[in-house]
Amino acid sequence: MIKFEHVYKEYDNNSAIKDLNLEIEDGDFFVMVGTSGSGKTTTLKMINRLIKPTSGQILIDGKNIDTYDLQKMRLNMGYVLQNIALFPNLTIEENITIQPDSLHWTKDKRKRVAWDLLKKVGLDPEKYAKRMPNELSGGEQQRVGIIRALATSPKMVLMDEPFSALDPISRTQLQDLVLKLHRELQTTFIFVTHDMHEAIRLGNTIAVLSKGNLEQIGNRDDILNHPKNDFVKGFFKLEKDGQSTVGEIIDAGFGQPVDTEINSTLLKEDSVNRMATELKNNNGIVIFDNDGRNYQLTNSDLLDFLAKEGEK
Amino acid sequence: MSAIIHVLQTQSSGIWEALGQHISISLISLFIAAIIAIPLAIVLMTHKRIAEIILQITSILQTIPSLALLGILIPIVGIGTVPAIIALVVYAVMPIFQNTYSGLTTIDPNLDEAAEAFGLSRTKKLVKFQIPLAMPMIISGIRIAMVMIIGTATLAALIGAGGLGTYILLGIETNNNALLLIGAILSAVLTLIFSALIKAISKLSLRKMGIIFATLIVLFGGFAGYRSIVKPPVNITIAGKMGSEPEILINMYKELIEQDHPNMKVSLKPNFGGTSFLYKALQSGSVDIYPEFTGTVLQALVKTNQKVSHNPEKTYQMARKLIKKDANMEYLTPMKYQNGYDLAVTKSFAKKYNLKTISDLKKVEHRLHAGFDPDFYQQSDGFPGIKKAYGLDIASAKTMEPSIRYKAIANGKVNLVDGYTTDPEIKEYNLVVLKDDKNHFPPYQGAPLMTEKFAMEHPEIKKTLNKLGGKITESDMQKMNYLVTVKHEKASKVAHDYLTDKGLLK
Repeated sequence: MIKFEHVYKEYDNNSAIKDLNLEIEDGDFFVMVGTSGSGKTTTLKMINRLIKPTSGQILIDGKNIDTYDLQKMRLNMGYVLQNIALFPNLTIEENITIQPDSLHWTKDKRKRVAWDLLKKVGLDPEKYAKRMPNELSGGEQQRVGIIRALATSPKMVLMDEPFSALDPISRTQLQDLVLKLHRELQTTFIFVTHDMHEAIRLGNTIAVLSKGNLEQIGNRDDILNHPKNDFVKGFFKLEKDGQSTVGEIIDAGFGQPVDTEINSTLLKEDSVNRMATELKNNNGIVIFDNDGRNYQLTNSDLLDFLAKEGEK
Repeated sequence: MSAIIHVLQTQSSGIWEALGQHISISLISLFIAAIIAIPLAIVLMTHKRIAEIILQITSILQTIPSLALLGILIPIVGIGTVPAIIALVVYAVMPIFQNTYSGLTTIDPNLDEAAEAFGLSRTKKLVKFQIPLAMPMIISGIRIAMVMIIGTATLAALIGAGGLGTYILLGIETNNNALLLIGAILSAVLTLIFSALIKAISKLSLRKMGIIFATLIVLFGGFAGYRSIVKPPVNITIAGKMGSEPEILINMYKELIEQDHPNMKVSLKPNFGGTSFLYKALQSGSVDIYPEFTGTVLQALVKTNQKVSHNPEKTYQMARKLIKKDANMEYLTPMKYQNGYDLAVTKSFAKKYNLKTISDLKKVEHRLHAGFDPDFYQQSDGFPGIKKAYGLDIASAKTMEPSIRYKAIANGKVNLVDGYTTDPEIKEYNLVVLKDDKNHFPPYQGAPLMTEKFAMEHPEIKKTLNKLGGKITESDMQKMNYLVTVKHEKASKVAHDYLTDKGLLK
């Protein structure tokens, strides 16, 4: 568990973080969202001590992070950067295993981990392991950036706006990928974004920051339906007002709970637009996780719902 | 072309040796410079202010003229390979340091942040990406340094370190274009080969580079060790200024000493730099003996207000006393010939304006464009003295190397030059020596100069060298100079022939 206690950060007497108190549970998918200057990236970088707080303390498993050996601590934290930052002189495999190499893993073990991870994110190791970063597309590079952060099976992975430079299609694919990885690994993911859609799609816990203040912390429902103040309400207004959500379709009585395997990462909070995309990709039937129960929606559910809405 | 082939055939062993010396001096200097500059840049990559200061210092070092640097080094580290390498290292450090530093500091900061966040150690960062990414810049720095080193290393010959510069200087000095071309072309070819080699090495991995460097260290260490063991012990070092005459003289010294004292070994350093280099080398003990002129001693090496006499014997006595008093030097008996300064013009120029004496120059003074030896241009008995004594106000005067000066007058670039009475070029280029009608030039006689300490330790050598006292006439010297400068005979052979001829060698 990570705990911030009365953390302040000032740059040249300008306050970047003001009295931050929060807790991140093990295994959580924790998203910090806010506009630029909100302090979200500063908060993230204080966890792996790239930035030092001006006052207050940060605890991991009850121990102040300053008491950990810096290198050892960082070797057990994954880190994904906005601009990917793969080492251009190293092959994809060498990039993935840069932390294992520092931990003196054997060559065989390093290779096995790299190949497993490449397979996990849909990059054929035979084809990709020996390539150089500049031979890959932006989306492919960031897949490598993500699995590089997972190579040592760290307790937590820090991600600093990792998808903001990608095109919308790659972004959605990679969002699905991190959700899948999180489900499989149960590692703590701490994710920073300025994109509220992304925050809603990914976060189990969402922290909304503004000008160095923590405005609200809670799950999707809390943030969307019970905004604590006008700032949070305004920030997510578009998300709510723009379109109907999947949740409204369910509430209107369409679809049904099923026992079949899920085939989509669709969420109750997603827009009908996204639902249409998912239906198209899955031959007209999506099965997804709806608050712990698998739920099925079909093309005709969507059409009927829209027709009913149109009648109003 | 045929002259070049002739030289290549007759002097191939000497040329190979010079090439070997040039390569080893250059490689060692480059290697030391890299060993200093690269780690320094690595250490300072996170200390911007100190790095800026170091950059300033190395840039200033860069601006010191190489000849001046060599002059400064002689009293401190003596002559030969060591000061040459030190000077070359001083020049080579800057390009390597600057390129390595900028190579390391211009790496994408995101990569540094990533590596930091991954918990990589300083060494890991350097090995994994910083040095590999800076490598193209480092290599280009090394190449720049290498080109500079190979070029500047030609000056090493001036302080007795050998190398291809020996042939270039000898070529200029003795007016032998074949030698000059061989020296220059070989050093250019060397630069190309090394440039290609460095490029090839730069494509290897860090590990292979390490292996190559380690091998080079072992090879050079071994070579140096071997040289120091095999090299015969040298008892006496005799040097001479640039030119054929000093080289002939020091060869005579060597032959005489080795004949009289078979247990002694003499090492010669011909074509050493100018007067001040040699005198410094003598004072510091790197050189034991060199031939110097009485007039030069009085003009350049001692301080005196007395007017220099025009009696050769009086001049010598005065020089001997003053240099003993001022610098504890022993000045042995001079040879017979007088090698004074003179002024010369072309025969046609002399005829056109009816010039016979230096006084006659007054009437054409505004048409005179002179090319003077740097010593002559500065020394008070040279150009400044002549200007005063004869009231001359000439149109222009440039300083140039002695042999270039003669070429300049032959090509019509200048119309007045200084010279020495024993110079063979007077005859070769059809020049006329103007009479010193006011007896301005002091008589110059050559004699061996050594420290008092050396003379005391080696009275027998003093005795041997004094055998040459009063020997060698002006025409003897002119003839010998002609053989070496114009006929390209070896100075050692000319010296040997003279000594045998005069019965000084048994």
